[in-house]
Amino acid sequence: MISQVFILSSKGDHLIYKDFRGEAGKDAVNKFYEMVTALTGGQPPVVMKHKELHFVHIRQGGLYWVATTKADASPFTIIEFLNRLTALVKDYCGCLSEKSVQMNFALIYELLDEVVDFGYIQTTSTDILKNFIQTEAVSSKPFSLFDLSNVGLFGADTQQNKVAPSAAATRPIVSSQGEQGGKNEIFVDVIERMSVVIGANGVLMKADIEGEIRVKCYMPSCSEMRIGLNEEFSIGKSQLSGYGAAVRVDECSFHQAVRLDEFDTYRILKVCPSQGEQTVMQYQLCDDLPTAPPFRLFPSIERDSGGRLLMYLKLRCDLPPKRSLPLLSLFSPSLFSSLSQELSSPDQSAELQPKNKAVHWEIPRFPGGAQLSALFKLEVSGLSAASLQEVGPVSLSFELPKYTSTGLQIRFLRLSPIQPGPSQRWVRYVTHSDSYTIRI
Amino acid sequence: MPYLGDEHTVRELRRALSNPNVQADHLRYRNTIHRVIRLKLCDVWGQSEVLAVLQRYRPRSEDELFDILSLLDPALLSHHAPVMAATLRLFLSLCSTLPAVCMSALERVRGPLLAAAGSTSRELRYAALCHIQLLLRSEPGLMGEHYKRFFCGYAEPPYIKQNKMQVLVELVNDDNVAMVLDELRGYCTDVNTETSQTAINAIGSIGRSYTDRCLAILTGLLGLKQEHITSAVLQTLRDLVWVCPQCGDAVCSALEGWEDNLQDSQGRGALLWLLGVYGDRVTGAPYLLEDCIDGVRSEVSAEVKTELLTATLRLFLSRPAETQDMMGRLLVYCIEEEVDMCVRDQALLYYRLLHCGIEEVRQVLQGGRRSDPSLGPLIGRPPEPISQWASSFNTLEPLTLGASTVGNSDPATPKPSTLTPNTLTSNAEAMTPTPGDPHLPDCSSGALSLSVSPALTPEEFERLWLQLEKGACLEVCVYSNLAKNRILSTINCQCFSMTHRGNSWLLVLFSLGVCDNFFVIF
Repeated sequence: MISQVFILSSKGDHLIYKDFRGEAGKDAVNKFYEMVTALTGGQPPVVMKHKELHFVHIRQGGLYWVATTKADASPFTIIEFLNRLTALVKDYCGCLSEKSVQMNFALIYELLDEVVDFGYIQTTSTDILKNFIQTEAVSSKPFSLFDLSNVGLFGADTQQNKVAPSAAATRPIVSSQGEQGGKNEIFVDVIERMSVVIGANGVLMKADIEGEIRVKCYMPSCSEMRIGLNEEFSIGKSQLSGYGAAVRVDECSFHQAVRLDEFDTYRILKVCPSQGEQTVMQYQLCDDLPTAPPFRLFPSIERDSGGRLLMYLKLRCDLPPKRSLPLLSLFSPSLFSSLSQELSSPDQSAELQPKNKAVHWEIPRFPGGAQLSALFKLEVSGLSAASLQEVGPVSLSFELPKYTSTGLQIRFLRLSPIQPGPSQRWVRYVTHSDSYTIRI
Repeated sequence: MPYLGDEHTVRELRRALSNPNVQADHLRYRNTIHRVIRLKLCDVWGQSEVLAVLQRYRPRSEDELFDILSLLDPALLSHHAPVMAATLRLFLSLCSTLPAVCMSALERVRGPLLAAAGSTSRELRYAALCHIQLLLRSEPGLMGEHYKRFFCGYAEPPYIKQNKMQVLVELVNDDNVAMVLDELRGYCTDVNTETSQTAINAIGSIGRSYTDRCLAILTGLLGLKQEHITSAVLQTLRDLVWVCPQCGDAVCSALEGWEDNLQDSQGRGALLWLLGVYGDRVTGAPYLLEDCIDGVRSEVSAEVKTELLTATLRLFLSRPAETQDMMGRLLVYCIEEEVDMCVRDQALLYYRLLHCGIEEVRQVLQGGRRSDPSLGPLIGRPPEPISQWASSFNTLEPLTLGASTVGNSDPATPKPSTLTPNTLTSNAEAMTPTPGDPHLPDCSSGALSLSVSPALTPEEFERLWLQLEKGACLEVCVYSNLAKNRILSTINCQCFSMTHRGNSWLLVLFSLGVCDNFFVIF
């Protein structure tokens, strides 16, 4: 049972406040902000207690989303609810930021009214809610299909009609009178998060993939959609993996609304997507990746005569040559004071970030199968033999578009009944690096 | 109301589950079961509400119980965390008398919990981790082969990393110890000082069972000469030596060429303790202590000064010639010029002890064992019964509990119960220390005065003492000095002195009661 819900900006401005049960006063908001800013870095901030009131909060979009409760409620319920609330606000307002919350406060109050009743959560599904929400969303920046300024993920470097910029999926859902005239589009994203640890001797210590298939539907009504996966998709460790394009995952779980009657034979998922974003399927694969990890590092560290540390990094990309990465950044924590570098190509850049105590190397473009190198000369105050050990693990963060490490592919996407008017179906694949660490 | 269906259904359900008379009616019972069958038609929030409401239902017979369990079985594997947690909680409360069913439920919920522990939302990950820690208290082998899932990611916030490290410590076994130690060794050099300290403490905890490897790593870390790392390593070594006296040799060789100047008071305290205990084996010990003694005037922390006194006295016992002079200087400073009463009292005690003779000193300082091998290693801790934590599963309690203990580096879990000193009030007036106790406290609270001739003879005291009922029983597992101090501070007592005979410890504690009564507790 939720007592109050409020949203604060990171500076403590009250953006939204809603009291459901009248159990606690409005001073709870200030109390919460005091407590959360008084926390040191290591203390877990998710649940805090003050007298009889528990504060549960999440941080998203630079804002604090807080729910208070007096009773001993289930933490999973409240955290899941807050996550769903942020997803709802994002669906309605397009993007999640302080500005969009401020501009759409009426909509958010209306949402909160419908979603929670006297502290009990009613429903967070967009389908049911859209019958009740009347307010229009105000978008913080007008959407235009020709807007290329935030080319990020699925860059628009091919023809205009085949590729939409990433901003296409961030416009608000419910906008019947919008400038674009309500395009019928549905986006199916296969998003994988890769978590890899490679030891100092080059041995792969851990490799995990957590993936999900997310459907974002802009169509006002859609009765059924069939998603076909690879035919050789197998689940579980007991199956021996054959040759060829067999895809295997350890575990997978489906959304409640997915019908699996054709899954066993043809690997087809049937779902009736509601407007908005939902996760249709989640899967995990541990320790047995079908492909080698995409990046390998060959480091060598030594001291030169001038008392500086020379770090020579050779980074090799093991992806097939056609792929190319838009951006890669490397973090290497170390406690050094100054840096000079020699990089293999002019568009890369490297800098020392004293705040994170790390060397940050940015690679805007990395063709597959290539090898890049960098030489960093680092000044250390008080150099000692043990300084070589102080160079922390190298951590990569990247986004590989159009690539899934498990090999999961969506064979087809069929909507029935056939929609009147043009409808577009987009399928996107991306592999993120959740935590790709290479120890030196 | 949650969308369980129409209002009529909801009313029926509520009535059925809260009315004990209804439960006796077979027909109504079947209705209840039918509501549960329709659980699938509710959405996530409806399901969690229904499961929470079902907590209040007590099945009449075992058949009913198993009916309900088999109907709810699919919900246990749901990938919606709220539903899974609520179902598990229901299972645990319904089957509190059937441990085998509970255990199998825990096994089945492992997959969804691990999935929640890897979710994109950090807060959900944290909640799942806290609950996994609860589960591991009863079934330590539950997550055995999934230990890799608890390796910390680079960008995770420190509180999640620390929780994961605590879990990793519990999952260590012979097969994976090398990998886990490698991983923890990597975290020791993390830029966040608290994370690295937690990692070093984790290695220390594992060191109770795998001493050699951990010692090698810890002594290697000393070579980095990083302030916070060195301080944490010294404290960990001190705690480790307390439990595993056989590490003494490795520690001595690590202390051999010590040159560093630590700023952190905890680290310095640990260093002094180690030097005191192993002073006879470390060649440079007197010179290190001399440096500290020379700088004692500028020393701020009282704890460090007390440790310095104890260490110097210990070293004096084993190497009198070198330490005599500095011992004298230190005592003179502490007794004459020191402002802090505790330090001064300690110095006075030692001075008088020295007057009693060297044998007395040796007996007090070194009597009995230096460390207690009977305090078992971490892995030998027996699994707790599920009932101990089942009631706090799926509530906010594990998360707030995690908040207070994450910063706590000591893995000991003291379980103090509240001590009621009220039964001892009859002794408040006729109170003296027992004659055999060489400690003469310097009582600065004016209301009390100590009489030299005891008002009670020892026999009378003993008789009176045995007649009193036991006020409360305190069961503690003391792993180190720090734990002991912490336990004592939670029950609001402080320690005067302690000795031990054989397997039992005798602590003289004192505490200031509510009405300013001064109790002496044995």
